[in-house]
Amino acid sequence: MIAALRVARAAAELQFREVAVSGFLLFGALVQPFFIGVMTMFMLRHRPDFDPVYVVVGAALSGLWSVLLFAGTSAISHERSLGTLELVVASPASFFVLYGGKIAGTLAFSLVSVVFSYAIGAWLFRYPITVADPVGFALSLLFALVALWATGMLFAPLGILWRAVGQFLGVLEYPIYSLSGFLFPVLLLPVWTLPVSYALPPYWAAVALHASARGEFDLPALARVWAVLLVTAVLLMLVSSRLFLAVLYRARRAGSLALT
Amino acid sequence: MRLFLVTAHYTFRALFHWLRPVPYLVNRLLFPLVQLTFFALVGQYGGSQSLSFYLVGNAIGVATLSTFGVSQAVADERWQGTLSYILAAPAPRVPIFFGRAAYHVVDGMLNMAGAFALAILVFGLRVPLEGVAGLVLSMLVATVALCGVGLLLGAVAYIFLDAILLANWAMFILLLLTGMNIPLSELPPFAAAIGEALPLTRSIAAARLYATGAPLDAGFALLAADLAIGAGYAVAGYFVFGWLETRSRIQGRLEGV
Repeated sequence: MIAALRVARAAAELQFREVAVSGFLLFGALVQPFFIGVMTMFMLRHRPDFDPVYVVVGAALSGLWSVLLFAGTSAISHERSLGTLELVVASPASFFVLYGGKIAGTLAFSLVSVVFSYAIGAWLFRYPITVADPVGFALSLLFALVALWATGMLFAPLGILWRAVGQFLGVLEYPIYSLSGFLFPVLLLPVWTLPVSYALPPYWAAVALHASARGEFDLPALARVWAVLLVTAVLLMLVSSRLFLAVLYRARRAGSLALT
Repeated sequence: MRLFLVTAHYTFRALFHWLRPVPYLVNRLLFPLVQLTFFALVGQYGGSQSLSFYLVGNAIGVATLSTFGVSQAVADERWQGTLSYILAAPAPRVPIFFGRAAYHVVDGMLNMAGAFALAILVFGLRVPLEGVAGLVLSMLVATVALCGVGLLLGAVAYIFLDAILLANWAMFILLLLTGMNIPLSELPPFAAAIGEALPLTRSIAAARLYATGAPLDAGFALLAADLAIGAGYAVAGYFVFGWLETRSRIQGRLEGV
């Protein structure tokens, strides 16, 4: 267990260092939430019930999601392009734990979008940004990160096992913003899309963070959302662990450690 | 002319890795539609403008994707190892440089047609019959003008290396400052002034006129101005490319780095 944690920590640290200097992921974590935050602030501020905290949380979620999506879907293929996948596949360390650490490192980096989105609302637009339930918000963020991490773990092997699926995953940025209600309520969408929203961890992450930031839920209501986030995370982990095994099996059985 | 057509054909095919349909469908058809849907729904929720304001703005805004393809052409030449051959070739530069954008104009029109089809079929956008010709003209001008931006970015990508990042910056600046989602009158004066200097601003304004059934000549001045701005960007790109090419020859760095 300790050895596994050591592997995960080393992978997370290395991944954090790598993504922190990646121009594309810096763009996803800082520049894109900036533009989305500014645009939606302008677009939503005429609403009678406008709350800048809603936009700040939504823009932060968009940054978290974009970084996770791009780093998660390319986690294995990036390793392959660097020529290090053979070493990873042949290593005695757990493939799943290693990528778990990498995705955790990516998520840790993507947290800058939360800080940056706060700065957009508070400094650029000079709105008073106050979180109504700070403890609830902090816990919601923690549960949200766990569920998003599990989602990233699902994406990482998908693109390798089915390349056509991998190409479609890259387009999931705006659909998830929409289906998860990051910046507008999902009730604006057609009714048939609601079950899809309910099945998505980012939707529950948005519910928890929006509600705790605005003080809309009491503790039992928030706890129910956290429970859903945990359950979806566990389910996704179970599926992704099978998929990681399938990737490993294919790499070793075919004798092509780089999965080419 | 032959050189122009050959350049246009091969740079477009190479961009989609020899035209496998999946990357093309994902990057050029699906992505703009989901982006349009997102901004239209945010706009509808905000309620400060009519839904058609966001639908028309974002359907024309789909043309921003043309900047990706055109600017990536130079970057891809480098990755595929063909940039030094182009720089060493005695072929005239005008058809080679401007040929990169040719297919993207047609492709951009197709993407916008898809976006308008979505806006009409899913969101119920109504376009009066008398406005259709003007709308098609706005689409053409928008995509031609944005190819000009793409050519400038492609030239800059010769030394900046990351063309995709440049195009992403351009796309978000265009989304914010051209009136696609926010009326220019609501932006701070300096931001509105930048918006006025960008292509697309007037094409979107003209398209909104035509979408309300305005006669064809109502948007001519706007479209002519957008075309002139786009041409300005393209010519600037040509001169930047020429300057960088000369510099790389003098310094013996044909890959540009």
